[in-house]
Order: sequence, then C-alpha cells, then structure tokens
Amino acid sequence: MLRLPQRMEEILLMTCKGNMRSSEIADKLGISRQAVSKALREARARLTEIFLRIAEILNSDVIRINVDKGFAVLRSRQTGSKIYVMYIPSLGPLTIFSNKLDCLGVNKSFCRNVLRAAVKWGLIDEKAIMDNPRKAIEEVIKRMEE
Amino acid sequence: MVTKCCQWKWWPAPYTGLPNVLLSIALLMFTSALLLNSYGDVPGYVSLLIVFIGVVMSLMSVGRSVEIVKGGVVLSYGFPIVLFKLTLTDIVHVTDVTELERGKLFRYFKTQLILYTIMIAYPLLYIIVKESLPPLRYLTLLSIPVCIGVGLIVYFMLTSSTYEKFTKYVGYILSAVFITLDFAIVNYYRCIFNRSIISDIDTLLPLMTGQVLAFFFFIPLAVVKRHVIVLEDANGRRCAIVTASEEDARLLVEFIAKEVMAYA
Repeated sequence: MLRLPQRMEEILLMTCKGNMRSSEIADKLGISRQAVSKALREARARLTEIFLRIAEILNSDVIRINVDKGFAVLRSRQTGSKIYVMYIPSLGPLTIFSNKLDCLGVNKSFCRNVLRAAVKWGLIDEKAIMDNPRKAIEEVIKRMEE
Repeated sequence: MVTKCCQWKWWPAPYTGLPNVLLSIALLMFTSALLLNSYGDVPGYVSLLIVFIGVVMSLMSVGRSVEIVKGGVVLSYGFPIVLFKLTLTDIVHVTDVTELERGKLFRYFKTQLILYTIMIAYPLLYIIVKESLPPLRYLTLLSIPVCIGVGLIVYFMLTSSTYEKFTKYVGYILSAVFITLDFAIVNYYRCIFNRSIISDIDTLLPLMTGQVLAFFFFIPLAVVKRHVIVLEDANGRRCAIVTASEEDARLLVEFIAKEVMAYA
C-alpha cells in the first residue's frame, strides 16, 4: 500500500514543517533519539519509493523529488506533460495532472486535501487557502516548479 | 554498490564548497589581471603570474566524477588528479532544474551572485580606488568583466519554459548591455576628444576584440543544452551536477532517487 506508517508521517512532518530537532521529537513522543533518526531515515526512503512507484505506474520520468516537502514532479513519457504528486498525510499520494483545476463539484474535496497537505508540508501558508482554492492550487504548483 | 560515472556524461559543477571558492577567485584573477596590466602600476610579469595562479585554481575546481554509493553521492574535483571530494548523504531533494518552468539556479546558489556583482562593479571600483575616471585607452577592457558578470547573472536568474526562449532572452539582454556600453564609451570618447572613435583604431580595436571575446564566452552556453541537477541534504547543503544531455539527466535523477534517497 502506498502509505507511510502514522508514526513515520508524524516524525517527518515534525521535522519538515515544525523544524524540530530529533531530541525535541524524542522528548515529545517519549522515544529515544536514535529511534527518531531511524524512523526519519526510513520515512524519507519509503516516501521516495512511493514517488518512484507512482512514476512507474504512470509511465513517467522523475524531474524532482522533495521528500521534506512531500511532493514530486514527473513527466509523462507518452504525452510529455507534467504530473505533480503530493503525499497527503494519513491518506497517501494524490496526483495533479493539470495546473488549471477548477476545485468545484467532485474536485472540491480533492483540492481541499491537496491544500491541507501543502500547508502541513510548509509549501504554502494557511491564509493562502482561505480565499480562492483554485489560485491556491496554482500557487502550490508554482512552488513545485521553482 | 558503487557506480562511478562518467566524466563525459555527468560531472560536478563548482557552485558550492571549496571548488566554488577556488573558481570564484580564479575568475576574479582572470578578469583583473588584464586590467591591472593596463591600468595599474605593476610590471607585466605580475599579471602573468596572476593569470597562471588563476589557471591552476580553476583546474583545481574542475569537476571530475560522480560516484553513487548506497546512501550517498561522492563528487570528485581536480585536474589532472583528483584533489578533493565532497560527500553528500541523507539527500532529501533531487531536482533537474533545467526541466522546471521556474527553476532558477540563483535560488540554490545565492553566493555566486556576489562574485558576478563584483565583476559588474569593476569600473565603479576603479573610480573609487583611483579617485578618477578610467583612462580612455583600454576603457573597453573594463566592459569585458561587466559583460561576463551580466551574462552569468542572467544565466543564474533567468527562467523560461523552453531552452530556445531562454537563449533568445539571454541574447536580447546581452545585446542590450553591449549596445548600451558601446554607446556610453563612444559618447565618452566624443566628449573628451571631440571626434569619432572610428578615427582612432588603437581604441576601436580593443573595443571590438573585447566584445567578440565576451560573445565567444557565451556561445557554449547557448549552443548546447546542459541539464543541471541540484541535490540537497537534510542539513540544507546543496551541490550541482551537470549532465551532457536530457537522457543523462533523466538517468541520473532516477539513479539518485533509487540508489541514494530510497536507501534507508
């Protein structure tokens, strides 16, 4: 299954978004520093594997993988178009095939999940998703393209 | 597994660490040696010595090979022998900057701009140090570091959706800079001597030579599309690898992701 164990997600997010040190995380979770380091290393490796698996499924080449921001950028071998993959904590990876998502109807919950994850990974501010979800998605993709 | 590959396919770029320092100093030495010889009160052999030291330093910073080991990337620098190595482990980010629509090298290697800005400010530095305007003879020599500095800044800061557009924009900007500089020099000449610069072949020749040299400097940049792969570790340390082609870039990114990042 293309998901990280909950504890690993937690540790990865604390490190990436919260900029917490291993010792702080260890104190907070009541585990040893070594255990935090090991979990962090494993979480990054597994997240990379998830992105590589998605690239394989979608027959795409990898352009970018950033495990500390929870996303990858791929290029389809068939169409040459870009595919953006975001890892949604406690849900798994979601793929965005276009930077012009309308975020209405069936796309509404999809956009909400992507934007919440983008905030969790520290890609955009929470304020940015309040106004216009469509613009916020464009902003997320801009960050992935920088 | 250790994969050592391949000088003609992938090689480290000297944008970080000691190679960056060495190349930056070498670049400053190259651009200042000629000026020192023309404007400064130093004997000719001093400029030659500066150029020689610059050549040695730039050879020391040449990227030689990229070794991919389980969990890390080892970059070797130095020519003709490997002088030092940089090892990057715990890689959390790999990206083919050339493939990104807004991928600026400047974002990853900000310190490079300091050097290029110094080069652009050469004429100003001359005025500050000497407390006078540069002599007209060989004035064009001062425009060479300015053009090279502008060109490198443009290369580091400009982005475009396609490489063709990128080279087009670089061409526009450099042409504009060259034309502006020429216009300023021609006007400066006319103000002082009250005649056209065309009548003075001794001044005109270095002007033309300087600009042709500056253009030659950018031809390799525009002709071949090199891909730049940026790696970043968990501590925020970055390094760049240049690949010969798009295919090599694709292979390298995949290789690093599989062999280094996915290795726990």
